[in-house]
Amino acid sequence: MCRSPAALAGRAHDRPYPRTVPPQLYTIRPFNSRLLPDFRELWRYRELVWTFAARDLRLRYRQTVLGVLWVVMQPIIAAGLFTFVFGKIAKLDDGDGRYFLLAFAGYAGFQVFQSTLAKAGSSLLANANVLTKVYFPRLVLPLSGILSTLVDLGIALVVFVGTALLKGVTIGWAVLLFPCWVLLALLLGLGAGLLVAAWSVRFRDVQHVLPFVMQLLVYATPVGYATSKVPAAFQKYLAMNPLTGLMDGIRWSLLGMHAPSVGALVWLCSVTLFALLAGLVVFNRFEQDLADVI
Amino acid sequence: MSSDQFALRAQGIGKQYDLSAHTSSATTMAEAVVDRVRGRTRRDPQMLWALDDVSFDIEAGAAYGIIGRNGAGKSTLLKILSRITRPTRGEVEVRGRVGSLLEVGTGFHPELTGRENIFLNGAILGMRRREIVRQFDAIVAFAETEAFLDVPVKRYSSGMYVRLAFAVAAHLEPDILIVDEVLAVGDAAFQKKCLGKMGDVTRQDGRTVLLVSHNLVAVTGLCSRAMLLDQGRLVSEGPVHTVAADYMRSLEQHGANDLATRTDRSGTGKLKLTSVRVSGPTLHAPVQSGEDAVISIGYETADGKPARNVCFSCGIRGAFDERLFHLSTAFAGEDFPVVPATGVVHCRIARLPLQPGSYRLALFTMTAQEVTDYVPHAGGLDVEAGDFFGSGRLPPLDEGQLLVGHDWKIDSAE
Repeated sequence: MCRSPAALAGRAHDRPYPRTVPPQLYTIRPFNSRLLPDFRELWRYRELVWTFAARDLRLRYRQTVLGVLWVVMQPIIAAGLFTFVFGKIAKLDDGDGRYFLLAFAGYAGFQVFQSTLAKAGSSLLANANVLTKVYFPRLVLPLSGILSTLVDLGIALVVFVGTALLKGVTIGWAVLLFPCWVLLALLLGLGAGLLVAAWSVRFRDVQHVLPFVMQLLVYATPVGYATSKVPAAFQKYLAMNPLTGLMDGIRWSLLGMHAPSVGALVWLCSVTLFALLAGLVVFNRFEQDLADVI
Repeated sequence: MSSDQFALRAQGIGKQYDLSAHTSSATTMAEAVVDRVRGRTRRDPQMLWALDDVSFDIEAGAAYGIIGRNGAGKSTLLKILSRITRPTRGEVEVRGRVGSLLEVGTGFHPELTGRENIFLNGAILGMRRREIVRQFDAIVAFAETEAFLDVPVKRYSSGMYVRLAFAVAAHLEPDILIVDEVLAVGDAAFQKKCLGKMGDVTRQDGRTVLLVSHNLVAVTGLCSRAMLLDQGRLVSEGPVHTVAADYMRSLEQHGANDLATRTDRSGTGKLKLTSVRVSGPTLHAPVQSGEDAVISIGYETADGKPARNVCFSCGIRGAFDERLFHLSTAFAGEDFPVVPATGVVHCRIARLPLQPGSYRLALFTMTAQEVTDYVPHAGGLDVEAGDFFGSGRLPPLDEGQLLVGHDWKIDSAE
């Protein structure tokens, strides 16, 4: 390409990046033979994950006057309701004044899983207009939902710590492992969310069934009650739910309640790993035909 | 230019769509499970090659045009090159970072401010944050919307909105920039500014620009080479003026529909329609919204003698055959008491009130109260974007197909 020296000199400082590196070569092919998404490419698009996340956060707090207040109130109301229903009516409360915290920790932990799942699950349909107009690794969208989940969790934790201090509950060293439980909840939610995201574009009923499934799951998981209060006959069913181990882990970290068994931990980690891999594989498969289907 | 300095090299790419997929395959998981259990397959596939065996090389630093009629496969090609969809066959080698502009303001959110949307849109289009920061002032100056930077864009006038969206796109600096029809709407002065900016991009920075447009003036002005697509195939490739000439010729051929041998017709046949073609204000001009359009209908009488009391009618129908409006000598007050044995009648539609898209023509003639010929699917009418309102803008396509000239005024309440 012939360019005048003047043009070169005049524009040189405008260059976004030096042209000494030869441009990368990419081949567009009919099939993507990869089993898993291209994580190196995803890393190059990390700023976009952040941008989408920031957009969602801004919109959430801009459109509602009660934005932040709502995030604060939601777990308090939910935990209060659980305390009333399970603690007082079902009389599971030992009377040590900690029932509210137990329910609060359960709800906050469950929310990390459920909100990651819901946001990832709806991320493709919600951004359909962008998906058919421009390319970026589609995984960016479900990932970007994680930030606002973490912000919600952060706010809930502040409320939790404040309440714990008021009630004179001491938090032990096990709290150091709390981030691990959050990570497991995120990954499990993300894995399931990726499956939901891919299927919900293809099948319209997935989106309608999901809220119902989640509603059942809140009660099938020890969110509003402690695992130990469940009659022995039902314990084996409860153990089949990987979230049981997660709830126990969170309560162990935050409230010093009994630690989850090794079996429960192994089960939780295996299911999480499986869900994540399955989610990534299915999503990656589906991503190729996305623009033609959505 | 040595052959290894290509920016894009496509080899035999094709894209097949299954037209029946939307209607006949399971759309709910429940249906899918039932189908699976019963071992039933709903599919009766109707395959269409939207793009068929297309190969080309585009050299780095070139401005390259892609032209063709509606449905020729241009959009499919752009979607493949910008990686939105994958080809069914073939492959494309891409050298460098690709930025695609298939729509103005992709991802713009009405609740966010101009400033926030610049960052959001820039990031979606593939700009790094520091690039946007560096270009921010230039973008704002280009859009001429400084005063409204911190106002949500839902309060913008549509002109401001489009300018801001264009401005972000114009400052995109990928190695290869792919631009769709987007320039078709937007006011003329601003369009020119954008074209100028794209010209700079190729001439001074050595970037590659791919421009798809119906606007031959824009394509021939900016691009040095071009390709012509027709029904998914590449029919011509070379210097832009040669390809543009081929395009004009193909429009002409497509325009004239031979009706003489058609059998899907009814009527007495005493007077038969033999051809139909639609053109813009002049014979070779494209049919555009807001420009005059001329429908020319050829006919002949069965007995080779002049006919009396002939009425010609033409129904304009939508893509689903819905009746949009009707043109007839019976209403327009132009009776031809006697018509020659063979001839062509021309019907001029002033300022064509149709949105860009594909329409169908139904033709019929009557002689003395009896239908002499009726051809329900006589031909197609492809309308391209044009400046109907003189504002450079058209309503969104999902707001209906018809355009009606109108004006607004305001009175104060007292």
